[in-house]
Parts: sequence; structure tokens; C-alpha cells
Amino acid sequence: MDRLDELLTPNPKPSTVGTLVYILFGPILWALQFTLIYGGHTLACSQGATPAAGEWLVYAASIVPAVIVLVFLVVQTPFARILGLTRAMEDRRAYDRIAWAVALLSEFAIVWTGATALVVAACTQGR
Amino acid sequence: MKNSAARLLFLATAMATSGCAGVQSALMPRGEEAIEVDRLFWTITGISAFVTGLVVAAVAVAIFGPPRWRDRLDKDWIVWGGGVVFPVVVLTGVFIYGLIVLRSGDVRAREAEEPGITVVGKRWWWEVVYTGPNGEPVTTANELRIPAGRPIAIRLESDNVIHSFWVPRLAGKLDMIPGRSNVLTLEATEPGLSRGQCAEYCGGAHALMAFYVEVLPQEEYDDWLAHEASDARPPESEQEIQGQEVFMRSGCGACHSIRGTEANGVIGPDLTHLGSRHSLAAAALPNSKAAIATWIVENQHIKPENLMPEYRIFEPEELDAVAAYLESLE
Amino acid sequence: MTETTERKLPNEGNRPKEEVDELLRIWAMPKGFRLVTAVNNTVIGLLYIGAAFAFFIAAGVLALLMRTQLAVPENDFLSQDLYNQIFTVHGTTMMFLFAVPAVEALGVMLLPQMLAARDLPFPRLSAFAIWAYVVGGTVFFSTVLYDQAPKGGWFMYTPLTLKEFSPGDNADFWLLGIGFIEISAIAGAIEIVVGALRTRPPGMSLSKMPIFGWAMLIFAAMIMFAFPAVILGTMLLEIERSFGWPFFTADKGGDPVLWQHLFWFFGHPEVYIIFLPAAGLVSMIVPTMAQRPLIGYNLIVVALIATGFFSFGLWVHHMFTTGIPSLSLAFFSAASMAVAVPSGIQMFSWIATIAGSKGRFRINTPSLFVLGFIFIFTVGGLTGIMVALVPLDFQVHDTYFVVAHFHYVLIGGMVFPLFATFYYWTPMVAKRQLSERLGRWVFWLMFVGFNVAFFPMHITGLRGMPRRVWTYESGLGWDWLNMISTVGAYIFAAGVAIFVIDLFRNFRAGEGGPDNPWNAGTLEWLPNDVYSARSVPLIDSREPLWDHPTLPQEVQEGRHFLPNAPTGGRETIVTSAIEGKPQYIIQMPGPGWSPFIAAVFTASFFLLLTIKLVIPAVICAVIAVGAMLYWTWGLDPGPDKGEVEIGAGLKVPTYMSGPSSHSWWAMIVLMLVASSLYIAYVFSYLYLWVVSPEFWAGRGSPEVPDWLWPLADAGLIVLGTLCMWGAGRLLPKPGERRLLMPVLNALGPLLLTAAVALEIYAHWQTGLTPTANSYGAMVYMQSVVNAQLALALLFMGGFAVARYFAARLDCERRVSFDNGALLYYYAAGQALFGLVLIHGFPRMVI
Repeated sequence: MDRLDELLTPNPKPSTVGTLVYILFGPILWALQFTLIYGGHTLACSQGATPAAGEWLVYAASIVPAVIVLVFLVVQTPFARILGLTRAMEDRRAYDRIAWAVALLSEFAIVWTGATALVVAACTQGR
Repeated sequence: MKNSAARLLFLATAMATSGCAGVQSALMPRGEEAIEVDRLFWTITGISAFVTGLVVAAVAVAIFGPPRWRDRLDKDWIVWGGGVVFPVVVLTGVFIYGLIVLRSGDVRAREAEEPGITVVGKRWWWEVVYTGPNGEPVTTANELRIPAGRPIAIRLESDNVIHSFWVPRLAGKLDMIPGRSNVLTLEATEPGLSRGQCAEYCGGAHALMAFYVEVLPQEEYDDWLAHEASDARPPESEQEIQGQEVFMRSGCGACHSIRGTEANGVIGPDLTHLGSRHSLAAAALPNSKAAIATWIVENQHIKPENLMPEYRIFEPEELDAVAAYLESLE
Repeated sequence: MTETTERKLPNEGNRPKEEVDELLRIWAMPKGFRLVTAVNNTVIGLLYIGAAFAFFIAAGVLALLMRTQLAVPENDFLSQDLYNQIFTVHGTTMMFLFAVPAVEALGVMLLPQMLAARDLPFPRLSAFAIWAYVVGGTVFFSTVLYDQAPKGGWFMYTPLTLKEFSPGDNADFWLLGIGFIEISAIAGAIEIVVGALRTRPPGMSLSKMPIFGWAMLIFAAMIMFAFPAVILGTMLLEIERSFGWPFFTADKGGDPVLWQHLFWFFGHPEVYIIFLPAAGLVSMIVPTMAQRPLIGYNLIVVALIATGFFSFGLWVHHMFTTGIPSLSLAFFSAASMAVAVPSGIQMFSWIATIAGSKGRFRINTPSLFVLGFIFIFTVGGLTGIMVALVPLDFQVHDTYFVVAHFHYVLIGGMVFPLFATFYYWTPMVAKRQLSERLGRWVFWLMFVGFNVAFFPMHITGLRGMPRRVWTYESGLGWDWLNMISTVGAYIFAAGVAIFVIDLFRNFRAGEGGPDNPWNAGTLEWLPNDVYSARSVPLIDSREPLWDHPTLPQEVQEGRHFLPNAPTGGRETIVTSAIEGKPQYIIQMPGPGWSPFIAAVFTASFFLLLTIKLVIPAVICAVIAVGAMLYWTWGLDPGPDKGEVEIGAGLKVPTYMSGPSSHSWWAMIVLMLVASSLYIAYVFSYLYLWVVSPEFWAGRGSPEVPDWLWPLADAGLIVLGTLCMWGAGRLLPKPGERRLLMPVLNALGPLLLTAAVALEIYAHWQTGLTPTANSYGAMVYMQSVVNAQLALALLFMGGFAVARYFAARLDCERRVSFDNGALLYYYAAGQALFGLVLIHGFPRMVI
């Protein structure tokens, strides 16, 4: 089909917000994890949690988003469908690839951030 | 570009290792934390030099290389390999190394006893309070002495603006923040003299807020602390006696303390054992009679905005006497 | 690659020549002193970049003064006090008055050209932002000339900057200067988000957008979330300085470290806010010089997105030595590792593209600056990894090592690409190119000078030299290192000086330069005039100029969309955000005095307030608001012009309201900004509670008011919301009247204002005062944040009511109302949440 006709042919409109969320899926989960463990760790320690409790909090708040992002990395399509992307939309493959690679980088970030508790003790200034 | 990079790196290495005046150099570490960080630093520097070389070489090949070489770089996998896989692998290693060093600080802190020394950041000097042999507070200023070979916890505080306590040869810095109490563990490996400096901009004379740290063998430290806890040496010579009289009469004691005399001010540095220190005015001047006299008269010139007014009221002989008295306070 | 000759174009056949004359008339640039009324992005963009560059030179002179002072130990070229002022003004100017405005200026100037849009969607907003910045920035900078400059560092740490330790107006001037940049940055962010998402040419889907568009989009999004934190921080600081609400005073339950959190939550993303657009520029220049598309376009987009996100997990990176628990520090170290990966992706993508050059990679001034950038930024990035390692940072934090690091990142990462940009894009805006011969001198002097100046600083810092010292003792091993740095600084400055000479000799703004001198593939190289491209091209690839060599001619002949001015005024095409399908035409305002007057008097208002001349300040505020009302009165033109054809038989409306309209989008952006500010407030509230719970209600402060108070308050808010909802339903048909509508529309904001007042009274009657302790300060601060919105809504409500009576508001022509209503719903939500927080939280934790 000619480009001009393509442009003028009405087709199901993909969701704008959905597409953006799809592209940003990994980083959004990273942001949630980061907020949870930074806020949670600080709060827990200030309320007198033991270091062990602080560490478990970090693990828990990291494993859940890490698994979700992992699922996203393995099966993207249902996420795209739920978020309102359409099959026919232009450059769908590009968005899939971008979303996948961003999610991969986010997965690294989530794992790195969560793994800190394996080495460093919680709730202490440590100097 | 490749050459200039190599030259710069060579220069860096040469300069970093040939340092002569290193009393404040993190590259000449004499404390456990500083040594660990030094090792970490050189490791990462090596990796960085390698990566820089790699990038420069890749750019050079990309521009000037023969077509066959260039074709090899002109691929998606270069972006994935060089931009994702390689950094993730290297960074993971580097990151874990960093965490391990971080943890060893925690281990050291646990080994140390409860802090027996408190350093309080002032504008722009340091108040140092030891716990004396009988548990009493022993106040001194602008100089820290610690025993070698074991971790010593130091409490860091401020009652004004934020300062940062930093002795590069012993350990990294830690801030002194109003309303908070931070604890830093120093573990000096051997006796010797180091210099420290305030590392957080604290206004006015921030540049002139330094101090010396003398690391002593344990027995010497104990002897020194016992002496430091004692009252000031009474004036002996005629001039010293006159100096003390002028000091007390002029109201110096409203700000400064000299234990064993009526001077008990807490605004300025404690002068009880001033004569035994390595420097004056937070390492702004060397410690000598002449320097003390100059300080009294011209301190706003030497260290602008410091909170002590210039005392130009003294006759020359009075000034001389005060300086002689203060110098005698060993 | 598609066939070039066979494709269908929106307009076949020849277009009448009068269309071009009409476009020229409509888009004519005001002449003489009326130039200040110009709002077109090309004029405004040039002015903006010119002002930013002037600040670069001015702050650079300050840098030379500092380097002269530090050349030898125990120097007295500058006094301590002056040095402290100079380093503060140098840092503040470089960050706030040069770097952010410069990249924003490039966005304003280049983005519409790259999208072949006639202009950005809110031209007057850009004009306003720029003039406020020029006036405010000039006043701020000039304080250094008469000893009134702030001296708390560009980071303005409390408590050093509180009244007790910084009496006088100096620190207030800093807050003033920042105020302007906050305003212009937010305005720019709105402009760029809506511009990049909605004014792309037909067919340019999101993933065909030039990389610079992505970079600016992410830049703008980052501003939306980063700047509000510092806006809140500066509000808190100014309120504490002026009225003594103890947010940062430890004795009263405040915490100096709270400032650091708020400042760096902005301050670290700020670095990437500066870097991303510059990286975007590099991603535009490299393919041109290689004469081939970028390798790894998708991955570069990935890198930009990832950087944008991860950079928000780095702020504590500046606070590693404050005594925060080491596990918390480790989280931030992890995020710092994560943010390094995207930089690697971009680096190797550029290298691969260079390697894949058609023929050889062209070496000229722009590409030399790009190569210089690649080298310097690599080094800066690697030292960035060093400072991200917590224990290593314990040593090098606040030393010259860090000074070296961030100059490598900022000069390497932003100034070098900026100079590449100057040489590369000059032909687009000027009558001829800059000199290639001088350009090489500029590059080599800057490159060599830079490395000579800043490389030794790594070692100076490791040898123990702290930052922000006006002098140093000799014999510590720093003497000759500092001397070398000073020499390098002068070499660098010589390069910049030659550039200025080149500018004077060769830069003549205006049309008529070579159309596409580098043979680039993107739309800014279409032949253009004041109206931008003659017609807006149909896009089917990322490098349309390469894929369709006839495109420039087609565009020039008006064979693409919107070859004329169907509404008879300034306008551009709005397309859908993801796929780039044409939706409607925006009618845009032309030149006018109102943005200029509003900006100058807004600036005067803040300035006079800083020096405590309250009455003249109020007069200025009234004039500024008057000008803004006048300016907005002319907007929202309504659907009078009906639908127009833009080509290919496609008829689109010339007016749009509701969720598709650009003003709706702008309002959403503004709401996101407001909500970021509110989140920063909630963070501050909880943070101070963690630090000093002993001051909270029922412990160090009176009990929270009885439940009835917040319930009554919530009632008012809900009632107000219903009023706004009802007003929206009652909007009359064109030409009809429905008097209940303006009544409800006025009542809504009044009820919200009453709710804010009631909330203040509820706490006041318990005996709580804002100056007593941090809890009191935070409780009343919540009302300050809400009162801001209520005030804005009172104006918007009054404005809508006035438009109703002027018959400019009805159920079709309704954008003026919709904007207010949207903001109202947001404000109501925020206020209700606030009641839960302020009244519920203390009850919960006791």
C-alpha cells in the first residue's frame, strides 16, 4: 500500500499511555523496587528493626519485581495486549525491542540493587 | 588521540607515585581504610586505563582502519557486546569489590570500642574531647592523637554548620552534621604524622580549617593522654608570669580555657597545652612564639572572618609576654 | 528504502505562488526594537542560546579568576570572601544559567525544524520563559560585581545558608536566580513534551523520530520529575530564612540533610538532563558525518530511557559521607552501576556507526568535537564509576578529584557536543558557515587546554586537596599540579576566545545559508524560511532526505501537507502521539508584547521582593498578571474556522478540546509537575518524622485537631469538586446562556480556598505554630502547597467566568474551562490526600 494511503486509512488506534507504559515497563518496576527498599530499609531501621529483618525486606522487595520483569522478558506479548498496543500499529516491532532491552537493563539494576544485602549489613552506619 | 591518552596515563602514574610531600595524600595510606581504598582505586584505575585504551583503539580503527577491520566493527553485536555485555560483566565485578571494601569498614567498626574521642567541628577549627584516664572529659583543639595498631572510634559532631572530618592517609571522610552524631573508625597502621582538612565547604575560612593527626605507639599515647588530662603548667619565668597576668586581665579567658587557671571560656579553642601542638589556628600557622604574637594582632588578615577579634591593644612587651606564656603551655 | 519517484504525494499539481507570500507575511519577523515581541522558535531559540552562551563566557571568566588565584599557593589575588562568592556564582551560572538553558534552547530551536513543524505548540510560553530567564539571570549574575553575591556554594547547604550563618540578601539572590530557571525549565518542559509528542509530521511515528527528539522528550520528562524537588527545597529554604519555619534547624526537629536530599534529588538527574540532549546531538551528527543511518537506533532509545530512569536512583551518591547506613549507600551505588551501561551502549553505537561510514568518516570541526567528546566523556564516565563506589568516594568526595570528574562529564559531555552543534547547525540559522580553519584551532586549543587543566586535578584531589578552598599551603604536593591546571585553563579559554572571534567574523543570523551542506538525512535540512518548511512532509523513514532525494524540492513546491495557511494565521499540524497521524490544526499566536511584559514584571516582582521592597513588588506582580491575562485572553479561538483541507483531501478541524487537545496535554504535564512537588513534600514530612518523631503531634506538639475538622474540610473540597463537575455539564450551547454555570465555576475555587483556610485554622486553634518546631512547619507547609493551587484556581475560575460573560466560553469553545477543571480535580485530590496524611498519620504512629 502506498504510504499516503496507509496514513489515511483508519485502523484501531493503539493506546497512547499504554504504549508508553509498555516501553517503560522495566524501569517502572525498578523505580518501585528502589523506592520500596530505600524507604522500607530506612523506615524499618528507624523503628528498631534488626539487621536480619532489614535484609529480608530488601530480598522480598527485590525478588518480586525481578520475577515480574523476568516474565516480561520471556513473554512480552500478553503485556502488550493488556496495555492496548495493536498488532497493526506502525513500528510495533521497534517498540517490542525497545521495551525488551530496557527491561533487560532494568533487570540488571534490580538484581544489583537487591544483591547488596548479600554483602552489606542492614541498619548500621558501618564506618 | 591514542597517543595523547597513553601519554596522559603515563604522566598520571608517574605523578601519582613520585609524590614527595604526602602528609595529606590518599595515595600514601597509613590507615586500614585508606589502604583498602588505595588498592580499590588502583584496581579500578587499571581497568579504566584498559577501557579508555579500548575505546580509543576502537575509534581509531573505526576512522582509519582498513575496510575489513571496519566491517567487523560495523555490527549490531558490537553495540550489544561493547555496550551491554562487557560493561555488565566488568561492572558486576567492580561493584562486588566495592561492596566488600564497604563491608570491611563495618567489620572494623564492630571491633572498635565505644568512641572515647569526640571531635566537634567549629567555625573554623576543631574541638577534640578525649576521655581521660579516669573517665573525665579532656578538651583540646586542632590536633588529634591516637594509638597505632587498633581501631579507634571517633564521634563526629557539629553545633553550627556542616563540616567534614578527613584525614586522607588514615581513612575517608565523614561529615559533622548539626543534630547528628556520626562515628568514624580509624585504624592507623604505624606511628607518624598526618594532616587532615575540613572537606565540606563551611563558609568563610573553610580553606584554613586543617589539623594534624599524630599516631603514637600505645604506651606513648597513654603517657601523652595522662599529661593532656593534667592542668596547665604554671608560668615560671618573669615574662611568662606577666603574660598570664595580661592574658587574664584582657579577658581572653572569656573565650578560651586554660585548665588550672581562671580562664574557662568555651567559645574558642582550649589552650591548656597549646605549646605542645604542631600548629596554630587549625593549621593556619606553625606553632611558635612569633606566630602566636602575630596571630593575636593580625588574625583577621591571616584567617579572614575567623571569630576571634584582632587584639591591637597590647604594648609590644605585653604581646611578647602573652605569646611567651602561651608557648610555655606544653 | 522506498522508491522515490513512484509514491503518491498529498498535493499533486502546482501551487499558487501567493501562498508563499502569505506565509511570509504571516510569519514575518518583527523589526527593530519590536524584535522583543517575537515568539517564533527560530528567533527565540537563537536569543535563548545566545544568552546562555553569554553566561558561559561570563562564568568562564570567573573560572579564570579562580584558576589565577590557585595558580600558586598562599596567593592573595582574590580575597577569601570574593573567592567564595565567585565559586558559588561560577557553579550556579554554569549549571542553571548556562547548561540547562543552553540545551533547552537547542530544543526550542532545533526540535521544530527536525519535525518540520512551523513552530512549537506554545510559542508565547517559550518567549515568556526566555525573557524571565534573561532578566532574572542577568540580575543574579551581576550581584558578583557589587559584592552581593551568594557564597554558600551552588549547592547551598543548610544550615550554612540559613539566616544565622548567611545574613544579608546574598543567599536570597541565589534563591531568586534559581526561581527563574525553575520557571523557564518547567515552561520549556511542557513545550517540549507536547512538541515532541504532538507536532511531528504526518507519518513520523514515535520510532521514526530523530534521536534528538527522543533525547529532548526524556530531557523534558526528567525536568518534570526532578525540578519540583528543588522547587520545594527552595521554597522551604526561603520560608525558613524569611519566617523562621524550622525545616532545616536541628534544634527544633528539622534536619540539614533534608535539604541535601531535596537538592540532589534534583541535582543528580540534572547532570543527565544536561547530558542527554547533548548525546542526542551527537547521535544526529555522527550518522551525517558517516553518511549512513545510526547503528542501533533502538538501543540508543533504550539507553536514553534507561539513563532517564536510573539517574533518579543516584542522588544519595552525593551524600555518601553524611553517615547514612551503608546498605542504603550500596543501593545508590548499584543504581550508579546501572546508569553506566546505557552510556556504554551509546558509545559503541557511535563507534559502530563511524566504522560503517560510507567511504571514510568525515573529519571536520563538528566531528572533531564529537571525537573529543567521546574521549573526554569516556574518561569522565570511568571516574564516575570510581566515585560511585562508596568506599572510594569516602576518599575523593569533595576533593579536586571530583572537580576533575564532573568537568570531564559536563564539559566533555555537554560543552564539546555544544560546540559541535554550533559548527554543525549554523548553516541552518545563518547566512553562511563558520570558519573551518578557525574551528580546528578552537577544537585543538579547547581539547588540549581541557585535558591539561583538568587531568592533573585527579591527582591533586587524591593528594588531599579539598574543593572550594580559596588558597592552600605550599609543600603539600599540590603546587605545580595547580600551576599546570591554571595554564590549561588559559589554553582552553584561548580556544573559546577564537570561537567568539569566529562568531563575530562569520555569524550572520538569517536565511540563505546552504540548505544541506553536510548532506544530512533529517528534516531540519529541508529548505526553510521564517515559516519553517513550505509544506510539512509525509514521512516514511528515519532519514527522509536520504531516502527521497527529491523531498526538498517537493516540500518547497508545496506538494506535501499544509502548503499554505488555511486559517489565515500561524498554525501547525497536530498528529497523534504514537503513530503520527494528522489530527487537527493548532492556531498559534503571533508576535506580541504580553509575554515580554509579563516576563519582565514577573522578574521584577521576585527581584524587588528579594530586596524587601514590597509595594513596588506588588505593583509589578499586578502588571505581570495583567499581561498574562491579556495574553491568555487571546487564546482558545474556538471552532469558528471549521475544518480545513491540509492536503490529500484530508480535512481536519482547526480547533480541539478534550483529551486530544494540546492544551489538555500541557495541563497533564503541569499536573505531573505539581504531583512531583507534592510527593517531594510528602517525602519531607515523613523524613522529618523519621529524624525527629519526638516533635510530632501528641509528643512535642499539641494533639491533632478533632476528627470533625478534617471531615468538614473534606466536605468543602468534595462540594467544590461537585461544583466544577456541574459547571462542566452546564456549559451552554454557543449563543445560549446558563447562569448557574459561572456561579458554580466561581464557587468551586472559593470552596477550595475556604477548605485551605479552614485547615489552617483547625491547627491554629490547637496552639500549633509553624515556627515552634519541624512538625508545625510541615503541617502548615501542606497548606502553603495547597494554597498555591487554590490561588491559581481562583485566577483560572475568574478567567473562565469572565469569558463566559464575554461569550467566549460555551460547550464547544471550552478549553479555558477544561484547563481549570482539570487542575481543580487534581488539587482536590491532593488536598484530600493531605487531610489523610496530616490528620491520619500522627494518630497512626502514636
